[in-house]
Amino acid sequence: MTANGMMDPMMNRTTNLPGPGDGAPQDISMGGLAAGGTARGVPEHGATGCPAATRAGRPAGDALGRWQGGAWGALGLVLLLGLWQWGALALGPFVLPTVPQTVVAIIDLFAAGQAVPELMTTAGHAVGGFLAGAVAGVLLGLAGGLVLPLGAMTTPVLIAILGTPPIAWVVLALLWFGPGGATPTFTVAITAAPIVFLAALQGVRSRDPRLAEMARIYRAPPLQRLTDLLLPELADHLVPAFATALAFAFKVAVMAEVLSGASGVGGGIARARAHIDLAQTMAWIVLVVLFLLAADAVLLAPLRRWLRARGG
Amino acid sequence: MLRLGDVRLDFADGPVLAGIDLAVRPGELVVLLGRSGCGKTTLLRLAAGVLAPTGGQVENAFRDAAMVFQEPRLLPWADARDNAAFGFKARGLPAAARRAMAEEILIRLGFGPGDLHKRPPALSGGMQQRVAIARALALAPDLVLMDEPFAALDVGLRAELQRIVRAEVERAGMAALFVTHDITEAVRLADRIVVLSPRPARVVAQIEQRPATAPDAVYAAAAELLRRPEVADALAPPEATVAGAGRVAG
Repeated sequence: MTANGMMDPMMNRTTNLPGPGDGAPQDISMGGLAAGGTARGVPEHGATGCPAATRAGRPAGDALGRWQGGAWGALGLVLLLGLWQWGALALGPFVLPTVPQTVVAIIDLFAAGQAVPELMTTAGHAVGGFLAGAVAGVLLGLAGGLVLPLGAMTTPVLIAILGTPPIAWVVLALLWFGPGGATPTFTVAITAAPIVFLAALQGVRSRDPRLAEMARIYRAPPLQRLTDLLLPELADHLVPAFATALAFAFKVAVMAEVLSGASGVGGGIARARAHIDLAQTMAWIVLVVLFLLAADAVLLAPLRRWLRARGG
Repeated sequence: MLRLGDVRLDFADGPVLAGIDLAVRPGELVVLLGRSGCGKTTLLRLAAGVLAPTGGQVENAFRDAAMVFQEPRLLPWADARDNAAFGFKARGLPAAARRAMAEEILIRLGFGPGDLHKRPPALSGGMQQRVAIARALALAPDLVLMDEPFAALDVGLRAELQRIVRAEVERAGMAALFVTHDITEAVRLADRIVVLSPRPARVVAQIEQRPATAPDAVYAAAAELLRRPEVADALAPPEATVAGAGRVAG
């Protein structure tokens, strides 16, 4: 519907509230999957008395209890370790080390004082690149969502960057920055930025125009519109995108370290490969996965809990 | 005073308002009564300043305006108290003061202390609309605009909220422009009823009255209104009117 003299361009937009499945990136991290998703439902404007039944009590089978979910998750990990051990015994130590051999290799890495510094270096590359990419992605996404021509211009560029294999960025970064810490950090940043950008763009575009009109009528100043409306509306889209980008950040950082010969877990894997030390290779892999889970628990799990809690 | 002089508004699919003359005086509760789709909400949005007319003048001399919408339009991530305090925050009140004032009006509107920290998804439709009313009335605006705020509520709840709104408006001495398609709601609330024709809307009748409270008085006043041919014609379904024959409600 258009009106002559209509003053607010937002009025022409869809009035649908963002909801689950509205194109928000899915949370693919383990934490997100274990949490059973983060979606906020559309507030029910029930005709009368009671809050919607979905709020008052979940139907049986909708979600597992916290301990039940944890127990099933632990069973999955035990099965994975069992499969690994069976594979190691079946294929032999030159193809796959056993679980105890890997545990011993992990202990050796800590004892030799290698594990902590290399993990910290990789964390620096991954988290540093993730933060740089996330900040750039959020700023570009906000600008693209608010200024429509800018959004139309930047979207194909960022999609092209998203479609470029990280390995290509590693090669380019090696040529641009040479071997060293800048290559993994840059590769992580350029991988994370488009993921966050698209989420921010989608978040801005799927804002509820009715809330914007309410804020306008109540003369909310720009800062209040940012903190009370825009950022909470964006959080639904950004938190899953952050989880995805952080998971990618560790993978890409390790890959870039392996190829660039930089220090960090990737450097450790490259050295272990050179020595054909399979147990140490697996030890580094296990360590970096555990480190990613810890980073997710520290950095993103509180955000996911807040997102779930605010849904009522 | 809010004054609309010969206000016209055209949408791409045709005229919506065709020369509306209307005034709302301080302390007066005016009800805009008309069929669904006749342009009542559009008229309210013009009064709120979020739409500009195609022609005519909208003069709003009221210092402060607040609005209650058809749907509550609450922030789903904020609790009832912070939603009610939204207008105070916009006016720069410190957190402690605005929360105390929001709590006071929520409790007056029937909230228990345990409900103040519930977020909208955990509140019933009626409670959500009370928060929206609290958000508007807490500011003690000199004009409050209300767009069929009880349309989605059941009859009992609607009557209770009508009583609360009438009492709050009288208590604070504020002016109100209230939109409804329900004639009994109009006679319960209004100091003056302005009847709009089907789209494109024009004022077909303005009736000064005293708000009716007892059920008998409400139905008697509604029947009296419907005896006026221009009112009956404006409110009747399209197929029942001579003037509305063949017209599609907007």
